[in-house]
Amino acid sequence: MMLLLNVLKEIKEKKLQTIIIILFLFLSTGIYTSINLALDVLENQYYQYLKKQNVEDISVGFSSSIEKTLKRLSSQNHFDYEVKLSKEIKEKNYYYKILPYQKNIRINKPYLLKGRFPQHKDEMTMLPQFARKHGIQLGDLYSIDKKEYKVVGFAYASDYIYPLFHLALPFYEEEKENIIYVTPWEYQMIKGEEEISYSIDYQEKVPRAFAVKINDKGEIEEGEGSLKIFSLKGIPFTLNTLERMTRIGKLQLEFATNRLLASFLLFLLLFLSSCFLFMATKHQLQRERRQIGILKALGYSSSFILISYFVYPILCVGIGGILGYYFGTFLSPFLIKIFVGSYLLPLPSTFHNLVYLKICLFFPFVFLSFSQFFLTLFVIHKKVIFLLQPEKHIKKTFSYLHRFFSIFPFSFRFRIIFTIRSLGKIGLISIFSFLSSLFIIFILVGIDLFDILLKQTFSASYQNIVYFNQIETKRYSSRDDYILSLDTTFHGNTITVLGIDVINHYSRLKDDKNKDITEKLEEKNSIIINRLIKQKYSLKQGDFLSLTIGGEKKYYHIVGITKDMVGSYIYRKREYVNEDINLVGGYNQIRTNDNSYDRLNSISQTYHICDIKTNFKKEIDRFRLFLSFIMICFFSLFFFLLLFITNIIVEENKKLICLMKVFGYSDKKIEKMVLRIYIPFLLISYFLAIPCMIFLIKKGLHFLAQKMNFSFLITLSWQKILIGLLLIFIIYFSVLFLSKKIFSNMILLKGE
Amino acid sequence: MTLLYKLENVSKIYSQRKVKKLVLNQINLAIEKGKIIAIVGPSGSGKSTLLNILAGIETISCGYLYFQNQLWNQLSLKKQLQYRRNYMGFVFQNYNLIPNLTVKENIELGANVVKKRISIAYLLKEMDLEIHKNKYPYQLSGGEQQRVSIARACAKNPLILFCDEPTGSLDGENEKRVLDLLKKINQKRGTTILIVTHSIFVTSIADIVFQMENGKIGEYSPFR
Repeated sequence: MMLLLNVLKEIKEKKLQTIIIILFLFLSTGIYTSINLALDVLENQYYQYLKKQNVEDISVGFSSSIEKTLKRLSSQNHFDYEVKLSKEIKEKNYYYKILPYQKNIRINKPYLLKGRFPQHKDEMTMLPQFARKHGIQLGDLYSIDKKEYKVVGFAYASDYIYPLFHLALPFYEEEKENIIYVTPWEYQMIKGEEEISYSIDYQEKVPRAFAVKINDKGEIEEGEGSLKIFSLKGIPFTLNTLERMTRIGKLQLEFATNRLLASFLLFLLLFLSSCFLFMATKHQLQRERRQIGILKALGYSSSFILISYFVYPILCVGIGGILGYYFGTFLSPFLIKIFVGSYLLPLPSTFHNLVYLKICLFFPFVFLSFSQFFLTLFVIHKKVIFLLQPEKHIKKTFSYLHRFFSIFPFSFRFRIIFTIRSLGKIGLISIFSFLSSLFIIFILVGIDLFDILLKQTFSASYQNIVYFNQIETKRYSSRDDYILSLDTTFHGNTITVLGIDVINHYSRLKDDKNKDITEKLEEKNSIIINRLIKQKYSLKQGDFLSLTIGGEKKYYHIVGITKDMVGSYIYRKREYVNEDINLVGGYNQIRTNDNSYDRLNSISQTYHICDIKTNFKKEIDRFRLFLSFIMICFFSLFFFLLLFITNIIVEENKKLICLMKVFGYSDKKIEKMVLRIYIPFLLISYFLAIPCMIFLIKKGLHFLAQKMNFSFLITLSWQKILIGLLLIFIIYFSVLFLSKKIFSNMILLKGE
Repeated sequence: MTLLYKLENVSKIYSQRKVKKLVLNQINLAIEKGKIIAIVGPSGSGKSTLLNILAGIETISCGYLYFQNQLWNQLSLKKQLQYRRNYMGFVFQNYNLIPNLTVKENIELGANVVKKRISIAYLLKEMDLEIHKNKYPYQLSGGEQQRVSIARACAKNPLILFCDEPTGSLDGENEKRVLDLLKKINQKRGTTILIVTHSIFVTSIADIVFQMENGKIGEYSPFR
């Protein structure tokens, strides 16, 4: 009872500190529970969905030789396979994936959400997201390929959990992308680019794949090769079949990364909470040192005194942990909706998991009691006589420093004394302001990273790229650019050689300074590389590159670097690329503003620049929103951390502040002398964080460039640097404003 | 005769959980400039509260308090702060020295608040603290610490020095030394000194002595 009363008194005395500790515990356990609970439910739903709809393990591109091999191997390797047909249409601004619906589909069974599947001609199902965006109801008529269909159901294609089916739309857009099931007969009637593949479903676990080399004769050899493919028990597959298709497996990646994020946030916030508790306890023990000494002198055991210091963290953990768990449970359905927002997966129902309640109580308790235990033990184990004497604050190093600074004016010296007296707080503030600065710099750089990418890459004035099935020679218009594109390999990776005309309308090559460097391609063995290749392979202008174009290995001289950042491209004069493959005037791409090429039979796909720009812009907006959210969260944490520390400082210096007020120091002057001592540390942390973050971003982007097919240009103007600094100072001064309020209200008595 | 303070029917009531306690009851008092005034009385008589009210660090519940003929209650908080800064010095029973500051720095803390101040070196010499100037409070005796506290209060050359039990924690020898010092300050600079104390020795240096009991003030009688 006595212990409980003591704790209640303590909570009353340090209300703000207790609230901040509980808030951090609440946030850490709340975030952890909400993310994990949402992921549990989603993961469960995802794997059940894969099982129920019998979603493919791998898919293989169609070829006549594979059909025979598959048939032979399916029985002995315990897998089932099925031919999959699909057509792609672009009408107006919409992209459609058309699939034939058959009752006896074994692999990738479609999932019906509402209505029924098409049974008769002129019937279709579509994505509910698309229908909702366009106000389409069951029974409405919808027109594609100049024919009207009755919408009889809303359904998902189970192998399109992430609906990625066109290059121009790498990010899902509900209002633009639609997956449609029609009857097989209707499917045959619809004109569109057809894709045929095999879906393979293993009855047991998918065996591990291994890399092999295929030589020029098509024989399999082990080791590094010019063309790397993968083999699964004797069946050669293309690279993307090693793992599940992105559109099926992308969600799996989110599970792992988000769980990692939840654990990281849990431990980060718990670490901060225990730091707060450590500071608060240290201050409390300093105050109660004499009291401990008296209790010990009266005969109370160390363990009794020790236990009394555990009641406070237990109470904080109890309140923060339980509230956090229930908040997390409440939040998880919203998180599920956000997660599922970019995917085509039926919305699961949520549940409680008491394991998380145990985690919410156990980990915080371990974290908080660890520091509490050792700190309290350290004080309690001291001799009674020592505890009863007033504490000597002064250390030898401190007094040496004191003498060193004695030549400076008093106000400056006073701040220095305060600074070096609380090195722990300075360290914590410096570390956290450094981390916050890192985040600010990351956000300031990241906020227009994609904009620059978009601007640098898609700044050309043409609207369409028309891809042909084979190399053509017939010129349709003198207003368009004809490109010959050939794939080759470099260091085991595929890169594209683009043969362009030196005199062209849309394909001018420009360097970082926006200088036209296209004419440099006139030189016989010259090539121009783009920024991604430069970054990926650490190349520079003047280097020689060994490449095999048209079967002959040659050295090419890099005469320039273009500013475009998406795709691994090497530019060469089209005439020379044609010579390499013994052709004259050949091309397989046209860059144009003309939309009439769509009617040609020989084209494989038309790539609309404005669509990808819009798609990217939408994703950029989402990315910005995400960055803003992260920024707000981190700034709030930084704000509370500073508030906690300044509150502790005010508490610790209550007597001094009261004394200064009695002497006639104004609140402003006291704030300057006691609380503004951290400004230099904020400045140092901020300016140190700039090069560190730039270095980290560069390293990260270099890594990304290796793995992905785009690179970024990092820019950080002085205006942005000032904005970042301003943000840090706004937080700091708002904390000072609040702290000033606290000591403005202090009673002008003795402070204790 | 210049009046520094005038109190008319000043009362102070403390309220705690609906319980009201009258600490000062209708006090009428006039304090002349340049005098040493001692207020004696038992614990709980209200003498420290009176000192705090005079020093402007406590408010009155009713009555009138004049400082240099100005009604204190009507002064803005900024003006009150300015008066406290420029005209008032404080000496406490438990010294209230800052443990992280040296003797010299503790005095500087008192001096730094005003522009017109007494030289620190002069004060150190006057208070016989020169050899201790770089020491920390914990390295000094009680008497030495109280001398530092007096030096800190005198650094801004105040018009009035408030001393709350200045010799309460000191032995006889140190008590005498501190009282001599206060007398010296009064004579040399004309500083008004108001001392609140239990000790009857203090009355020996005082020009006027008041006695407080149950919140009322009266003339001092040694036989009371």
